[in-house]
Amino acid sequence: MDAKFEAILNSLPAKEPRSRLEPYGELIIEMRKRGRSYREIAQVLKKACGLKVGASTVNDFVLVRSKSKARPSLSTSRTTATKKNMKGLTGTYKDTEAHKSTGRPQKALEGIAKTIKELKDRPPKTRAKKLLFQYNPDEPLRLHRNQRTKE
Amino acid sequence: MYDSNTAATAERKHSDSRSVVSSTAPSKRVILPMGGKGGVGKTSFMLALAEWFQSHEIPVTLLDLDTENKSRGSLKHYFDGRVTKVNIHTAAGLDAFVDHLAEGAPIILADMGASSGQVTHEWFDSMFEDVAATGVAFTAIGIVTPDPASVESILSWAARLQDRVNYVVVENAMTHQADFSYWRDSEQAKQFRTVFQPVVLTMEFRLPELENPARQHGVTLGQIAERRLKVPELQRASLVIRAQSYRRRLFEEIDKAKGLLLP
Repeated sequence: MDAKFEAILNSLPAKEPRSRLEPYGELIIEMRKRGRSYREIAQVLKKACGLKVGASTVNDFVLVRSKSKARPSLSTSRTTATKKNMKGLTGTYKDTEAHKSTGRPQKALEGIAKTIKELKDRPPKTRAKKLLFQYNPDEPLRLHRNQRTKE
Repeated sequence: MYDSNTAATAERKHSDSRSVVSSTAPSKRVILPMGGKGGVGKTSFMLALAEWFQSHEIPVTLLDLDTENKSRGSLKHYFDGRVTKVNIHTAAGLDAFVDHLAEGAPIILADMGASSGQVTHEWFDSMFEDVAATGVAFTAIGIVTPDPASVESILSWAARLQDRVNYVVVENAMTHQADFSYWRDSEQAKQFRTVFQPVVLTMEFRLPELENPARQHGVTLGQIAERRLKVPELQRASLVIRAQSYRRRLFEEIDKAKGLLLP
């Protein structure tokens, strides 16, 4: 990061936790794991930590925490996804980096070109299904009485 | 030779052969009539079906999607209070299926109007795959009468729905000696039966003395059979007994298709 930006960031005062419960986060989560109800947790916090909160506040805190844990940040998931998608290309990319020093960029470019060609050649997924039954409403119904009698 | 008595065999084949709807056993089912042709008896059969489920104490959700049929003759007319009216002519009209199933209904009986084809077909094209993946199966009910237009209507629907639904076809004898030649003998209908092996049921001709006042007053066969109404013209002993007989025989017919009507 630019040194100027870093200096600005360092000059900012530390942000206080958004919830009063933040410092007790681990304790609360552990109590939940051990089957304590929100009401019981609120009582423990009051008695042991001198913190007066309602059971619903504890509930909200646990929900928010579990959501933020379950859903990684957008940037993280994007990075993961990109890494996953790039798996096949990783070698090529590394090659490209390496080639800057070894002077063999041609091979890396060929690898990328091959991947692009494969992608182009891959037929698009089609959702059209073969029709089991076709009917032309413009055609009159054709009766086969004789055939039925034979049957 | 084609014979409607082969219904039971066809049903067995259905359960044995490749599942046309889902690779796993469905946990819910939507039953809808193929509503291309008006006045063939779609609502009459759906009413009987609702009563059949009721007689087995199986809960069903009734949806009236027949926007054209606003009062007499609609499902809502017969089961007012228990029927949800749905306007399918909106961008997501048939999504009502999904919402009602999500609310816990195991079976939906949806009475479709005569002009519901295009909307239904488009809904199946865009939603079927994902809805079926949640364990929902579909049964399309086709009602045929001696009128070839009723047969053409079913074939048109089948050409669009393909094997995404199970098929039950009801031969509705609207006259005393009904002639189902176009359904039984036409080349196209034969091909439909060969490909989809529908379960074929019979709905016998009902006396106008019973049918007309029942429609007029919005009462079901069950209500007449169990004398649960105060309509003088439907309290005659002979009509009550006829209603009981019609209902019993229709229920026996419906029993033949139970594999395609239950989840």
